Amino acid sequence: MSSVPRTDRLRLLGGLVRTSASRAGLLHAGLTLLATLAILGTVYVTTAVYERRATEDAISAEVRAMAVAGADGGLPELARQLELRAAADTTGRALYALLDRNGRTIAGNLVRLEPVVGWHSIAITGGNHQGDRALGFGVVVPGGAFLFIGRHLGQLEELEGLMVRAIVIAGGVAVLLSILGGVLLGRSVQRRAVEINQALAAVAEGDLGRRLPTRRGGDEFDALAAAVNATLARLEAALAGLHQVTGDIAHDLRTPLSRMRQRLERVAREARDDTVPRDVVDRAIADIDEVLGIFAALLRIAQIESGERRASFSDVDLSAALSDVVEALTPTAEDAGRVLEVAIDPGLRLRGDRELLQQACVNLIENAFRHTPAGTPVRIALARDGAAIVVSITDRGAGIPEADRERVLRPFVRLDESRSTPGTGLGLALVRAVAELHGARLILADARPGLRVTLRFRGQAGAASA
Amino acid sequence: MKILLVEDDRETADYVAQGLMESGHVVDKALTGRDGLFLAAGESYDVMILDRMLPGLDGIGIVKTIRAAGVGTPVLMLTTRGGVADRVSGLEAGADDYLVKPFAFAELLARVNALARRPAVTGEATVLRVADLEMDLIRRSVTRAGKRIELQPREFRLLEYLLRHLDQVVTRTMLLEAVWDFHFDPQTNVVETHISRVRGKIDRGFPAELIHTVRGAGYVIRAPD
Repeated sequence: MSSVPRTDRLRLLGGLVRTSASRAGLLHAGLTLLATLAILGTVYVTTAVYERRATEDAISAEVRAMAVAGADGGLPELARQLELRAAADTTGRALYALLDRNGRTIAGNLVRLEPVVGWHSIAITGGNHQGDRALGFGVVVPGGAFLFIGRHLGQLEELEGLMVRAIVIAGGVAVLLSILGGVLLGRSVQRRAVEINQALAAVAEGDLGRRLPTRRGGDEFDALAAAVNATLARLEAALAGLHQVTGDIAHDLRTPLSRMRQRLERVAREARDDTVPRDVVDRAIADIDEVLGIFAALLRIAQIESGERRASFSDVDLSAALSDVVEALTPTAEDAGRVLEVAIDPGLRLRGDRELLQQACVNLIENAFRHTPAGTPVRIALARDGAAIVVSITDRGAGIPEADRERVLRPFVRLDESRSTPGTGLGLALVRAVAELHGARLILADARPGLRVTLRFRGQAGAASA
Repeated sequence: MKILLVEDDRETADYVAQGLMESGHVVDKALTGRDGLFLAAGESYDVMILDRMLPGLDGIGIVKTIRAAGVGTPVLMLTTRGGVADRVSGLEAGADDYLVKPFAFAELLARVNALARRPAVTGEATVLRVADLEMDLIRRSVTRAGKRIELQPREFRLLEYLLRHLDQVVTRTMLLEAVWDFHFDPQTNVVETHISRVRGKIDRGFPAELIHTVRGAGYVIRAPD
């Protein structure tokens, strides 16, 4: 599992948007953005409040100092102090105004001002800061004059701007990082999901020895893989036990049957006169051969189902293999007055077991012979369909009712209840086992009239380079 | 012929040995791989019949050992399963033929005869003959009594195999394997229908038949008495 095949990589990118991992990544990005906003917002609010309180404190202190100056030296002294302070302010933030009881400006750097007592904010009229906001405190001093001391809020607004910029930049970076993290996480999750899917697909095709890949990390995937692997190990052991039992039974029954056959042959051989009815012995031997044949077929199906023959797969020229089968069966067909309509495209190859593929094709064609009237044609075709290679055998017989099509693939199932037609009922079961071994689909369909049996081998990349 | 039989099942060994002796052969029996190897290495045989599954040293081990020692005696391996892996491993180890158990005695006898006579017949002959039938392997032509006979490629191979085993019984299974490379048993009478066609071409219309059916065993091609 060191490299992901190209097609899977394409699927991986395409599927990224749909995967749960990507959704988790997006959710993560959203939450990160919210968290960033919350942190920066808190910093902004805290800073703004601190800044405002500091400004208020400074204003309060000045108001107190001015009130003392006014009490000591009267209005002229207050005006003088105010002008001094205004002149001494290098920040340009300090705002002063002293109005007489008629509202005319006596001193200060504010051009116009509504005399409002207490804390309030104003819009500056005139001067450099026309239109800016300011915070200040207004008080009526002894003598009826109105004193206002304030601070321009430009710095707070500047801070606000900085904060907004910080939020945009930091938030943007956070979102980008989150999306990137989500994509990376999604890809890694997706890749592991693909690995697990591939391994399980191989298991489903009969490769029971296959295990899910695990890594040293020990994350949830490894825990999942370990659990699945433990299950597979048990399944494999159970199936191995079943195969063992099947094999043992067939072997144990075969041994006495073989001996019985040997003894009967001996009887037949040694019967030089008519004391032994030869035909009875011959029929008994034929019966034993039939039973032994069924055992052999069962063992063969079991062996195919175990998947062990996959180890000896090689590059098979299916066109040639099928042509040989057709050629071998042609005289039989002709003797029955049948026409074999053969349409085999040349040079179609796949990885497989030549012997089993031939046997499967023989079984299918023989089935068509057995279940359709003499003289009717049988069509045998082999062609490429996209990436797949398709074998189809079509007859002009009665077909198989749709309800029975799955059933006939099971061992010993024969639609002919009287069992008068020859055959063991294992032919199609073997075909099905061979199909599964090769990852092929076995399809029984209505050919209107007749039955069409199709073996569809999936496209096998690199089949030709065995 | 002198035949070595290594088979651990005493009853099967007796049955095979007795049958071979009744057919006029001399048989040495061994019930274990070690005894078998001792005989195989020390005595001279025409054919050896080895069971693949033996306690201790198995049939594969015996073949490998005697082949390494330069003994070229034809070996027939008896296998139980006959899966492709079993067959290939037996042939790769140096066996010349294999037979799946349980088998009909006629099958075993036919294969033993074919193995024993193989070197004498398979030489570099370019023309195979029986009575007035001639097969030219280079020109791929067949004539009987000077009359040219047209055969399909598979029919030619069938007749060639029969001629290479002149006077020997060949079984259906031997023909399926040699002519069609089918290592399974079709239900259809593939061999019978082809034999019948070949007969129709080489025997029909001639006074004496050359291809004979041997009941319960197979076919043989031989000159008329």
